[in-house]
Amino acid sequence: MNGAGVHPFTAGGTSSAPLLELDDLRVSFRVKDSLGVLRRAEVRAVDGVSLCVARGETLGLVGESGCGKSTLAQAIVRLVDFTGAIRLDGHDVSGLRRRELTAYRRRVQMVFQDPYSSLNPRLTVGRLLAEPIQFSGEAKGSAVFGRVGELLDLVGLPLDAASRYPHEFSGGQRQRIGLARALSVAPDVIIADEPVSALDVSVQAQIINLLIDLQRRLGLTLVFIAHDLAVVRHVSDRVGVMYLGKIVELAPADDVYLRPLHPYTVSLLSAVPVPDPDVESVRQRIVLSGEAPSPLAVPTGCRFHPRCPIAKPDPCSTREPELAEIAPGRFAACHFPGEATAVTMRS
Amino acid sequence: MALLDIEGLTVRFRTLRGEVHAVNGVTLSVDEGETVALVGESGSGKSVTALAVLGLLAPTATIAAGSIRSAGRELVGLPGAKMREVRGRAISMVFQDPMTSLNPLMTIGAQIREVLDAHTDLRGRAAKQRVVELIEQVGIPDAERRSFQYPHQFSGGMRQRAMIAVAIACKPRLLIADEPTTALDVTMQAQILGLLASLIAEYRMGLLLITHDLGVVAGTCETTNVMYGGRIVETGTTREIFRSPTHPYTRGLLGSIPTMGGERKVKLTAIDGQPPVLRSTPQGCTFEARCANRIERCVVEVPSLDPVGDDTGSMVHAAACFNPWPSARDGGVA
Repeated sequence: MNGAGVHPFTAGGTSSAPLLELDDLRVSFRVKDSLGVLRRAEVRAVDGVSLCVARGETLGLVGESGCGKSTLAQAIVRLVDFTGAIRLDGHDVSGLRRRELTAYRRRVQMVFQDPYSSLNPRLTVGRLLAEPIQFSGEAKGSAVFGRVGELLDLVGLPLDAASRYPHEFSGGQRQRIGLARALSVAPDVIIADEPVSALDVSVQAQIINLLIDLQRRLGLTLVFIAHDLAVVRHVSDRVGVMYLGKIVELAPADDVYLRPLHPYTVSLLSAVPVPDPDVESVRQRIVLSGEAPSPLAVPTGCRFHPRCPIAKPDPCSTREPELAEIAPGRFAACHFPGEATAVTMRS
Repeated sequence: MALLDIEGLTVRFRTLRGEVHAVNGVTLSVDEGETVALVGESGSGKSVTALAVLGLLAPTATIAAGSIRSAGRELVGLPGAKMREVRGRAISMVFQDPMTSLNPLMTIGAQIREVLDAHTDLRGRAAKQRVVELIEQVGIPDAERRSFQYPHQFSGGMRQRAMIAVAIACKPRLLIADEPTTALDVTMQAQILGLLASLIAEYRMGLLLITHDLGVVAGTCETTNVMYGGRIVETGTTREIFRSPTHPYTRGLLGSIPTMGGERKVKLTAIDGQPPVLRSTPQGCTFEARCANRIERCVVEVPSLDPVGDDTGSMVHAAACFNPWPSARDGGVA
């Protein structure tokens, strides 16, 4: 299905070439034993992920802890080694070095979960923002100050923030600083890894609003990674669901949430508590038993089959399903896509 | 008689920068078999309230006013030895992070045993058997072998189960759970909430659930208390609070959460500004600075918790606000 000129895993009907493409991306880590000696065993944190992100699109990635979503983010900005290909505007970036790599990172910026540990505590916010501006040549001399002012204004911080240090700000304000810093080099793509999960809900809403607003105004392409399914749904055009290093479902947001194809997606959605007592009182949960297996010992066949309520011995435990287009724009890696619904899975 | 009766609880902390007024006159009660939520954001004073109940406040904290009664017995000012009789026996607590609240140097079995040693006559083989029973009861497979393992050999969800086993070892009347599922993934959260619900039904325990997650509250608790700036700003049945919130903070909080069914990419009604640092008890409403409904009176006077709409004192629904949103029962917005 990887025909020349056809870009798999894009939104149905999107004719423009994707801005960011991942092709069979894999990241693995060697494991140390209790004495600190490297073992042969490998954790395959990201185990063959292929996807495309169109210009101006928000792709959400959800999954539970350990599913590889953060490692995937780090691979995209080239913070960890990987195999496979990452293409930006059709150019493979996996071999880039030094100046070319710097130029790539200028176009693809990252926003981290914990803005406090990702901001240098000894620099004022002004210097934190001025540094990447000067380094990238985005502005020079006194124009740098003007640009810092613009950035602060863009993320809704007062101008006097420039002379203060990160510790003087609250969590939400720090995340605004983190965003301003990512935007300082005028990137095309922002990879946001759990950008709101450390924040209180009222502040979280401020940052979500800001992200959506900035994306519209600046035409940003966004990869939004989070474990909170409602938050991801709110900001994303398309959503990818990850399980044990692989994407098991990828579709437009409404399809994923209303018509999930993969049984894992179905159970994940049923586990999310809904802030409505009337809904909750009649709701039936499909509680998955046990926990996700260790990525050190990925199950044979479909990696979800030991926990899957609709798994059959054959082919689920013997053959690994590929991420295939089940309906236009809707992909799932399941031998029985769409057969799992809240109703069938309960019985 | 209520299992837990907190009245006018006021807690202050001494810090280098002066006093922090963390809890300012909290009143709430939990009855037998009742599940009560205390909802609020970080710094609202919800955890401090819980720690005060168990006499676990830091040495820098003082209970400046108020009373805490457990089945009629006053807990404020109770000497340490007497408090130890209450803790783990009448009232138990489940904390957010089991890794830091379980002893890393003791096996899970030994930690459950410790509670039995302190509060029951079970010894020797009988105690051992009870330990295994408890581990089984909280849904940990292979209970006997697991009882000899240490916390680091357990996964996050299993550790939380182990901590629940420690908490229910003596069948306490009241369980306080402080963000018991916040550190867990949604599927694990669903498992743990299900476990708590079944234990509460079985033992007819009261539950005080402290959380920031309104989704968890909606599915777990009958009664909801919304806390902000050290005060309870709205209280009532969960259904009532979610259906017709009248306090601007509760409204803002509910509007802040993206829903699973709503329109995507629309502006969420975030609450501007940030929670206050309570260096002193504010003269007026603690929410006043962030409130869209603020009137002059809010700045100078503290609103009391008054019944909402035609509710006369039954406390089905009460809010502390001078200029609340109309409740659904007033014919206002549903």
